[in-house]
Amino acid sequence: MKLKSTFTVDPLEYFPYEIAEHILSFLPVKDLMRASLVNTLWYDFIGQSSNLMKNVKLKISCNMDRDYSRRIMSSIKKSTRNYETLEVERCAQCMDAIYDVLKSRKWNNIIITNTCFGTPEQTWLFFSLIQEHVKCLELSGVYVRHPYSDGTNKGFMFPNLRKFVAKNTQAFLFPEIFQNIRHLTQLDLFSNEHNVASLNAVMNFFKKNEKIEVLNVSGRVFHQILYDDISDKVPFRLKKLSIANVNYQEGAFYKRFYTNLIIFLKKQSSTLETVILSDWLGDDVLKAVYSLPKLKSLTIKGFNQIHDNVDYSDLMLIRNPSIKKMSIGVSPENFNILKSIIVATPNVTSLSILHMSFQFMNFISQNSPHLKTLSIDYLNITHIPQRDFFKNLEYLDVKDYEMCLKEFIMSKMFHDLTEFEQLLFFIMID
Amino acid sequence: MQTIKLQSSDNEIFECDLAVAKCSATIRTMLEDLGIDENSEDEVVPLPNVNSAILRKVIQFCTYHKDDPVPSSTDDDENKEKRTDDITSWDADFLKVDQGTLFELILAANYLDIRSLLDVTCKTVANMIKGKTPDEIRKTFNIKNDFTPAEEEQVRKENTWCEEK
Repeated sequence: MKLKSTFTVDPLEYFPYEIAEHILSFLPVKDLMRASLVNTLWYDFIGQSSNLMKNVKLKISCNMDRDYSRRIMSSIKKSTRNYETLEVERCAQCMDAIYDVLKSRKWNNIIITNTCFGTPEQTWLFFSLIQEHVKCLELSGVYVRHPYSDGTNKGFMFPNLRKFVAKNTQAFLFPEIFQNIRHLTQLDLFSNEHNVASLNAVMNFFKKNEKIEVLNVSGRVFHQILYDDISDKVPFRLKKLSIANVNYQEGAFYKRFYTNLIIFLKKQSSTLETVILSDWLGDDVLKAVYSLPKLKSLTIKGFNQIHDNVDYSDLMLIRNPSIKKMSIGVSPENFNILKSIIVATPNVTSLSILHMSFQFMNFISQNSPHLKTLSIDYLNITHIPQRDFFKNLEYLDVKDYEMCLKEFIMSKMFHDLTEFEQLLFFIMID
Repeated sequence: MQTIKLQSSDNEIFECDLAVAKCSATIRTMLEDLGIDENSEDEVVPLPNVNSAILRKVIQFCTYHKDDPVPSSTDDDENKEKRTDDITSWDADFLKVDQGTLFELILAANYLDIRSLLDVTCKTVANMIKGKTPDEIRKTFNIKNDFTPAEEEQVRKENTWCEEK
């Protein structure tokens, strides 16, 4: 086929389906939605492609004019687009219209934000409409009236649920939700509140579920779960574990939690690849984490919680050669801990650090020979020490830096700069 | 260095490095499965779907990129953010061609199964859509709008409720 240079043609008509879809897959949602206004062919093509629509979230926020919301919802009901993800926010006032939207499609992902289900019937209807298809259920700031408080016993089934997220949601909703989610692979619980019934349900769930691979927990919930002796009884094997908002404290209750957490970590050692500790959980927990043979990515934060009277200058961590990616939220006062961590992580290739002092930087440069990617939130140095500083570094990101350092770099001729200084130079002139 | 002969749809023969030709998964498969003898002087690989102008460009691209590391399949493609601002300056210069040539390059990259060329050319087309109004997109590709004003207004409203997941 010979084509003239003035040739213009609709790519959706010209290319086979897979190529046209591949082209559109590079567009952010905003551009994708704007592109569906080109003509009916583009609208249908985009709206019918599950590969393209999977990145689109339909967000219904009923905080505005209620009649307007209802009109929009009725037009969504009629729309031919294959939406998969729905977020409803503050929707208690127009529940009846939401039910119609829920009925109109097989929703894979449902997010409910800041919503109060006023009556048991509302709770029941909402969850029974989504239970069959939903794969990912995310609840954030949701208050429900227990669906069985009217005395009837209506059970839920979530045969396809893979991911369940509960953030600041009263008492994990209702215990029954944990009874029939056997295929769940990810569980996120961020909450300080719990009642006995739902906590028991979660613990039972921990003892039975074999498929959980990703667990993100925060608050007192995890204390409670591990307080019971289930640490070495759980049947699942995690790939990723994240623990947050567990303030390090002395005392018998906490001691038991840390002991159980270490048993829990040992039980997961054959699979665990990613660990995120957003709080300082003591040196024993850190030692247990460094003993995980499959660990690839480690995040440790919360050093500001370390008690001043504890000296970690002799912290001995087992060298872990498998860790490649690390993020540490350490402050300059914790130089001793940082030294132990860096020495115990000899093969790290990607490092992210909150506050980088001159002392830190020198130490890391000498002890992390494989470092390729370095991200620094605040670089607090005034000059660069030696020529072979970070010699294998390929990528540098500095969010904020000491102004004196800029003056130091800018005062030199570009060709006099070391490779590391050149990387910095480009960040500074950007 | 070992070379191989490729024949375009308009019967022009191109001699190129074997390593360059093997950037194409289709050619690799042809050599392996069809038992085309890599060492034979006279063996010619026919490429009936690619004309000489496009084949010349494809060989130029593969020659420049032949030593690039093969992207590891362990990277989970699913979670990777799709970007269009990571086109290198060499590739951007290479793709400063008219729309017809660009589109033919995409078809050739698809037929020859050269992932890196397919991605960078598709990104280039995506960049022709990105940041544009529907009307500007229509002008770029010579497309007629067949929405009624009411339908168009309906979609516009619907779009205000759509976000990045």
